[in-house]
Amino acid sequence: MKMPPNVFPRLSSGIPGLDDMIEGGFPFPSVVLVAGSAGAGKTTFAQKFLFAGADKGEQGLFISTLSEPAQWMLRYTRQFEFAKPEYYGKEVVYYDLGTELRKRSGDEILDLIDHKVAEVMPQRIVIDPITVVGTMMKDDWRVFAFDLTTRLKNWQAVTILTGEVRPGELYPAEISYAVDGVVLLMLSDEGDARRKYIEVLKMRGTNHLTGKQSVDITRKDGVVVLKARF
Amino acid sequence: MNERDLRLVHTIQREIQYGSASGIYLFTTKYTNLVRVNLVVLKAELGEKHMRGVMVTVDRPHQYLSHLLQLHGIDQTDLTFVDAVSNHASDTKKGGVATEFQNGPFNIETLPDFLIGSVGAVTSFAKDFSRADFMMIDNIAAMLVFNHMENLKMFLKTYIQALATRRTKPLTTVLVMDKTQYPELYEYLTGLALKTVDLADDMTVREVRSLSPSPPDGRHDAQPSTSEVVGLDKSVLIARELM
Repeated sequence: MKMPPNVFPRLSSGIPGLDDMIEGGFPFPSVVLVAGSAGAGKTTFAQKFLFAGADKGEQGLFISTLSEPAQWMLRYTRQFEFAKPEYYGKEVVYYDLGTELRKRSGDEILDLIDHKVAEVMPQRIVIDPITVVGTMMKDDWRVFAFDLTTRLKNWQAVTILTGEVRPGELYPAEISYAVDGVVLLMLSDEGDARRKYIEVLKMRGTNHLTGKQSVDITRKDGVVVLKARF
Repeated sequence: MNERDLRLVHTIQREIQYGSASGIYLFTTKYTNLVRVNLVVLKAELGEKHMRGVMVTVDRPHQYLSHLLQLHGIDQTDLTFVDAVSNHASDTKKGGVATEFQNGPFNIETLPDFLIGSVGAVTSFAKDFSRADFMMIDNIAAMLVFNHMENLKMFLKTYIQALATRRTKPLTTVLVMDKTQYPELYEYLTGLALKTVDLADDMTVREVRSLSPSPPDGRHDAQPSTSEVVGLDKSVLIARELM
């Protein structure tokens, strides 16, 4: 008797060069952690992921945990050619969770996220940054992280969680165990230059490329994996 | 729901002939739209036509679909869930609707016995199922994660037979899948479905194919059509052929 084919539907990451590293895209549905230090390009990565989907008619939801008004997000994102302002509020919906984080329990926050996801019905979700939630909430952060990722996987979407790493830390361990994929964005001092790299550390169900690959951040495409490296 | 979804509600009402004969209606869409199309079908059946139905959840616990229906203002009083995966989901999400729990998503070929075997039984689910106008599965291809293709084909074959021979009230079965994801399953289903509606990315209808009457060699073939009315109880024909 034949075994079922191992066919994971894939959703293109929208990051030039990355899909070639992960067998065509992120498994759909899945939750992927994009971790890195400040300035490594995490939010740019996440924005490009949403706008690339919007170009194909896929609905996106950007959940900010920083209480950052949508106008500021739009102002910074406008520097990139891929960010079409006409998508805001339609194909890319912006939701500020920051103001709720301090005053609500973990279960209430999960319900808020659930409610927004069910309302928008996105195929692409971003929570930026997820690590802020851990520092703000009173409840057990690890339990919350597990419940959050479990719920997100059951929605018909790929979710990108961005995670800030502390000095000396490769990725935030509290969340990485629960996600389907971990993508690292790294800054490296090399002589007088500071170079950027990407590495796929984990991607369930995927025979992914290992090792660091150079990346660049351009106004046209945002984060770009430089193909000369592989 | 946006305008595009509401247009699809009308398409569904136009393409499905409820109550005339038991059988399968197959909708194909991109895998990213499976949940949305399921929701729109339920909107057409529960919200517009006020029918009774059964939803088997395989791809995710029933709470998610229930939550979606609630948020979109679709009354689910007449919908009974058969949740095949909750026991495996480690999920804390709460649901407040009538639910029958299967033992699990494995050995799905036992599902027809669970459904049809309930006919005449004195259980609340038997009562719900005997009165149901439609049944859906979220989603049929997800069964392949837990079962062999042969077992899934056996399930569909037994299900069609059971509908035709053991059930008095017609039951419309609506299945939604991405035809590019599992071509073998798609081919098999198009040979069983009374009608196959192929949806484009923007949810408009790309093509409608109705099952042609059984040819002399007994092989069924779905023919392109946009307006063909399925008047015969083809599920009986198919069941005879499969037996």
